Amino acid sequence: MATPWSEESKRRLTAVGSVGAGILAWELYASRTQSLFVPHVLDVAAAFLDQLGSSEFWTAYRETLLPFLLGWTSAIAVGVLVGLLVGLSPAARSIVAPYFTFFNSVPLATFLPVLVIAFGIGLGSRTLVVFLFAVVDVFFTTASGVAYVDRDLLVMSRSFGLGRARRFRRIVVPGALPSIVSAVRLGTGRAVLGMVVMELLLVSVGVGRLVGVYRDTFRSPELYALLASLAVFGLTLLVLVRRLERLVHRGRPTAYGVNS
Amino acid sequence: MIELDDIGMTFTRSGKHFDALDGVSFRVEKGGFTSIVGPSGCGKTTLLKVIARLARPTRGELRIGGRAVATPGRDRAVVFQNFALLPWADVLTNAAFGLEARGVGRAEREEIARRHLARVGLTGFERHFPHQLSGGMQQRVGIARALAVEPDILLMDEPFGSLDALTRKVMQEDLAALWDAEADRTAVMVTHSMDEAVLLSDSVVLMNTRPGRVEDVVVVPFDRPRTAEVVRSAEYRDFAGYLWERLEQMHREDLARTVPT
Repeated sequence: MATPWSEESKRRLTAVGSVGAGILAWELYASRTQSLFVPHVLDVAAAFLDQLGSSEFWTAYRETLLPFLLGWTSAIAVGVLVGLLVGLSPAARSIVAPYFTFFNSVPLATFLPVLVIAFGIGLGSRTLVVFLFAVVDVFFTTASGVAYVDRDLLVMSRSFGLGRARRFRRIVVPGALPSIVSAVRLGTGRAVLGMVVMELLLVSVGVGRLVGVYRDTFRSPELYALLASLAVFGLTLLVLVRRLERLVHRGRPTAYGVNS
Repeated sequence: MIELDDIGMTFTRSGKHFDALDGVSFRVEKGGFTSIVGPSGCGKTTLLKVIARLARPTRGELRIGGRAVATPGRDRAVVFQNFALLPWADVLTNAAFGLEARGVGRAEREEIARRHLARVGLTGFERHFPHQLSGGMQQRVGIARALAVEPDILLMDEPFGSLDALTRKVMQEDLAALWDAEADRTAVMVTHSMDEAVLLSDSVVLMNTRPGRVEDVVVVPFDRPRTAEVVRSAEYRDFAGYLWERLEQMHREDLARTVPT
């Protein structure tokens, strides 16, 4: 009773308790209904450990992650670079904007069948889908970040005779950096979405194929364990992006004071 | 010497023409401190931008030292109303930014910047970030940044406009003291405070609105430094009062000309 809990550990304990209660509720439901599609918690945990030791699991992830990583990184690289360029040059904007606006206004999922017909279901085609899902948001977020770089700083740097190239490096890029990080965060979410949509709805490969196999053969503990591993994957990406965000925002003023 | 010869600037917005400046001619002697004062909307900030060549006039010519000028140059440095400091860079980097823009190496520019930060009373704050400083201190960084490039002409756009009254007064006195130590540097300051203009200037350019134009150029007949004794004298107060009245009158005339639509 007299243990002095810090606010931080109280919060953590509450979160852990909440998750524990959720698992307990799940287990209670599972043991009462005996449904084939609501497996026992321990069965799922066992399946999860089994999967970590199986080659099927890792092969599926390799198939899924390779196009994801390629599409994700290239979308961020291309989106950020083109976004910076377009934010700077009205001419570049006129050239590029119609394409991005087009892809922004039509749900990308409608293109998937066409892409598969045109390019097949190989690595290149799957990379392209992830890329297309992510690149549009990365581009728009970056471009608007550049467009809203503090004009007074641009005027100031011009008054001191800073040349175009160095103005870009010293004012535009650091000024747009918070937006670039937002672009990376949005793009990461979109890339995951692209990956899932493609594998579940269209091309049965990798983790998506495995999900289908487990579902169709009623192996629900394995199915749940696989979904849990996807959650771990998503969480890892999220933590990485958060780290990046915090790194960039460190020392910058915010509406709520200063980031530390 | 800065010469403005029949400077005019017309903006066109949705088909309508608007004369921000028209027929502006005056000269600023080398080594002099000139203030540009006028009611809001008289184009005084635009005029300062023209001298900095951050804006291009549609008519007329700007000459500095007898030569027509069309670009920002090494001979001029600007102090901005909203300070325009890089929020992601520390005080030292900010103060050295003008030198960096001009290609001065790191060690040298930081040494020079330190010296100028010391002049504005910011020694010890080199590694602070702008948001950790008060408005007055931020503008001190802005002034140090401008002085560090050793400009022939210092251009100031309402440098104390966003500061509270007390900070403003202290900054004015410190700037006056800094200025008295500068032998032949020329300064042009835009302000809407006549007291500030009279305290700091050798001459005051009175501007009027619609179109933005020069109403009068008044020489301030008081010696430097303008000690508390001078400022308290009846002559000084009469002079400042006279200019305030003219300014107020212009403002009222402008209001009277405003027809509600």
